[in-house]
Amino acid sequence: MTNKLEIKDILGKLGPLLALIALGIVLTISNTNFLVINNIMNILRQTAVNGLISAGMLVVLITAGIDLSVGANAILCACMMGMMMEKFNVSNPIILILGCLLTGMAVGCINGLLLTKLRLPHPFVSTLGMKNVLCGLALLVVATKTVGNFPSAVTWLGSSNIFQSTNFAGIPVCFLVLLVFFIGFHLFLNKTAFGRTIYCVGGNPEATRLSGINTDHVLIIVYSLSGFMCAIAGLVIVGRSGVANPSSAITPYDTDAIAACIIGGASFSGGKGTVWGTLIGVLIISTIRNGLTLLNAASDIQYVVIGLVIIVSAFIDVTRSLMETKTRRLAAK
Amino acid sequence: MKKVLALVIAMIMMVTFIACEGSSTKKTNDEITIGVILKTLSSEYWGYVAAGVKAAEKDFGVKVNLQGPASETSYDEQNNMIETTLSTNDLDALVVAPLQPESIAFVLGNTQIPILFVDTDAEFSNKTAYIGTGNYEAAYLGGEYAAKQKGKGAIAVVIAGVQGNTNSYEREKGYIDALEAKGVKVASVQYAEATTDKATNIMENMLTSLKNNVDIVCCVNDDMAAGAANACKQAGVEGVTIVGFDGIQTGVKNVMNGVVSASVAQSPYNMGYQAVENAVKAVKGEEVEKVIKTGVSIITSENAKDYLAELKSVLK
Repeated sequence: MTNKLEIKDILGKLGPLLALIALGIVLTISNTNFLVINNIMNILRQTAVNGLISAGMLVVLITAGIDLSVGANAILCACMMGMMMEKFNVSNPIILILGCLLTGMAVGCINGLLLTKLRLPHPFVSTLGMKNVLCGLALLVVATKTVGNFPSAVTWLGSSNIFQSTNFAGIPVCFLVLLVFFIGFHLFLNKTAFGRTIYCVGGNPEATRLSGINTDHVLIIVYSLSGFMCAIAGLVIVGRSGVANPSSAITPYDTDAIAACIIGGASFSGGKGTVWGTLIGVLIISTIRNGLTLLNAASDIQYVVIGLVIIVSAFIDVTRSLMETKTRRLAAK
Repeated sequence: MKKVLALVIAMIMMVTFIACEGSSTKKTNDEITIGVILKTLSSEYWGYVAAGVKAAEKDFGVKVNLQGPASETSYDEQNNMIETTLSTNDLDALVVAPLQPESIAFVLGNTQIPILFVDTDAEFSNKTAYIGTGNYEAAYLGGEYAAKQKGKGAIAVVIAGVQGNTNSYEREKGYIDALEAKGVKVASVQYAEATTDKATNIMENMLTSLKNNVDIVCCVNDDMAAGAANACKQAGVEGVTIVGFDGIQTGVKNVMNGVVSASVAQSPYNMGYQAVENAVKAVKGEEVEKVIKTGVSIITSENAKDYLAELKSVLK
């Protein structure tokens, strides 16, 4: 009995990975341009921004929260660098990057404070409000102009590749950085006391508070962390496009990140979700987008496919946990 | 249990693949493949550009990969599409309508195949050609038309699209420069995110703040012109010269019905057709002009009927 459960458990964990592999096989059969090394590198490159944002979003989702301000935050961070360059003639990349990171963390911190100190009913409210504020600020700081010509040290993270040669586009640095962050997040969430506290806050905030943990403190740090990841994503966005475009603050980065976390097994009710599941989630989304582009499918089909994947993976997750409770109840009898 | 997920996704992809197979092009004897990435495929205006592209594909017997992101603010999505398309092996030329002209050179990098821009021009050292009119010039003509109707000393407002978007900014600037050059006072510029209902709200507010004292409304698309017309009608303000932009079917019909005064049309079908035509020339090594103007026409009650017939024939 226990043995069977373990197999089920492993299958459950590998589910998204199997889905990704199946997706890869289907795309390889249907398009000769898919399984080409340079295209695989494209997928990794296109995964980076969503992956970085998703890592922060995952931690927020584990606390049963949500952060809708991620996309606007990332763009604001990019635009802050643009403003520093245009208005204050700062060309030192270290100062620019520091400004970018501080902006992101400050915004995240404000999100946390709004939730805990102002006692706004749900992070949906505070972060939705902040999303709009940040969209406006992004336009404001650069006076609605798109800013380009960033120093190469600023665009390095998003634009450089290693082992580049004539026939090989190289491994994108932004994806390697993403992997480093994911390993860091994995260790942080699973091997540190604070990381486990985050799961506790999501699982049962009242019990966590009563056991002597300052939940407000945990939440503020969690939202600041999400803000920090947005800043890194903003840096990659500048590197990928070469510009900071304030009007892209309305791009739905938030829903893509939430989708990736949900596909990877996170839940809105908190206490659940793993870093590796999320990584598979972001890879599934960018593989679908990349594959459908190669297949010449228009955005109507892309929307439908990604929407269905979200619904199906959440449904499977719900069914699995229902079955688990059932087995547990049967075993208890 | 999640095995089922794998199966389901596989099935979805299969269905999608079959669906795409139906709409994609037949292989021709000709070996030329041209990538075309428009600003979006989900709007009527871009539907005309796409129709031109498809007509040229058929006429010249080449293979065209036609794509476009979900909306005209999906900047990252377009950049991803460009990257993905450039890495396919059999691509001979790429036609792009850049959403973010400032970043296009960065995304294209040191691409060696012919690159053509359509609708919106951009800086790029290896550029083969630009096919289009330029939003600024087209809007300038629209502004001049409106100023001619009302004369010197008239009061105008401009309803623009998404603040910070290059396209919207150029049209806005074209209108303002033309109006001011003709002695018209531009009292206010507001942003309606390219939607009809927001344009109605904004127009209502502007009428209130200007005490209904508005002679000219210049909008950067047809939907917003319709919205502005709604607001004027409800406020009982008559005789306002309302100018739209794009010349899509509903816009032209509004001109015919007298709801709006004019629409600036940039002949999108010709843009699409000529872009592919010149891309083929470039691949074959023939000479291509650096700038190919596709022309602007101001659609008024006089020529609206003919233009509508032209649009309908194109979409067949």
